[in-house]
Amino acid sequence: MATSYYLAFDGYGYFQEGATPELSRHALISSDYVYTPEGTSIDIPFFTEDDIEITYTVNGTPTTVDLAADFDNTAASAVKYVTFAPNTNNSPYTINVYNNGQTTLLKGINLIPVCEPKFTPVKCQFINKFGVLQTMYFFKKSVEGFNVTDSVFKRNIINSNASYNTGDVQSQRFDVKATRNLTLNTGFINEDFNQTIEELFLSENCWITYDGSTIAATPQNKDFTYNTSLNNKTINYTVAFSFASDYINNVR
Amino acid sequence: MPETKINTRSPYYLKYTQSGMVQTQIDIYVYSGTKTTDKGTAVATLTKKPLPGDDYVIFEISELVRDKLTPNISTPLNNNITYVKWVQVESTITT
Repeated sequence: MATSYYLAFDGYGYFQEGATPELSRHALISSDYVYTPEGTSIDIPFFTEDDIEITYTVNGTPTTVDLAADFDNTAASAVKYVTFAPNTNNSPYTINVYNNGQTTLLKGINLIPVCEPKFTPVKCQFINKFGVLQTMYFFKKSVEGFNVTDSVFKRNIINSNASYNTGDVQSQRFDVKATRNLTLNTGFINEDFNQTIEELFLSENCWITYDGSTIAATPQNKDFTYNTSLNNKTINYTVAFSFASDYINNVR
Repeated sequence: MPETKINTRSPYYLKYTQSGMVQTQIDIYVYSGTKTTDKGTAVATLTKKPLPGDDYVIFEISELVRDKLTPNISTPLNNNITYVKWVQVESTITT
């Protein structure tokens, strides 16, 4: 009998990546850009089974995170979410991901704090292509609403006096359900961030933090057009979400 | 030793080759915890026989594994990674 071990993720490869794609073994996000509201930290997932080192300079202090010690042979330790805080002056900085010994730069991620004085940024987390949680923010206009479904039946309202009250309901409404939806705008983003939006559209698990609570949501857009700085000059994506639960609590 | 990642939304194929193969059986374990000690009971046992003239079989295990991954948003994120699991495959080739 032969034994072999694997680490399973809820990720996927693209057709052009061939059969049984393994994908990145360092940073578990595709884009080279992450946007976060000013003064707000953001979590970025990294694969820890391979020995990688992360370097960045925040508030003038160079920092190195060595993830070698984080992997303890448990499945959960194969992924580590590292929290990055913006500079106090909210200037951007680059997070460099190296191999062990820092001889090869594997990926550079630009952390961009965004000043948004008018709208309240909405946090969105989804399971990305690598099968881990990725955080992104929608900074601009949001529109909230809900859809209602119902049914009606005709009641017999005649009473024992062979009459009826005009206040009685003849067409009785029942089975009223509502689903909340939310339309969000990213604000202006780098073209490279297209990959993040693409993975959001392809995700099966997504959560929106809205009104102080985190609720499962489903992106409703079925068509995706890549925006580029050449074609579109400035890039903003509008994404419609439907909350993945009924508005009225009917969980039984 | 670094282990291979399986991305379970895409198919993952395992090929076994042996001259004179009669059949191959694989036991698949999907589990959290420590790689070598926490496998628990098998989630599936698959048996395949090679086609006439062949000396290999191919298994596709993604969907069996994916059923056991449970994405969640619980915080702190680093303490609630239930959506990454070990897969242990024990193969027995009968000749």
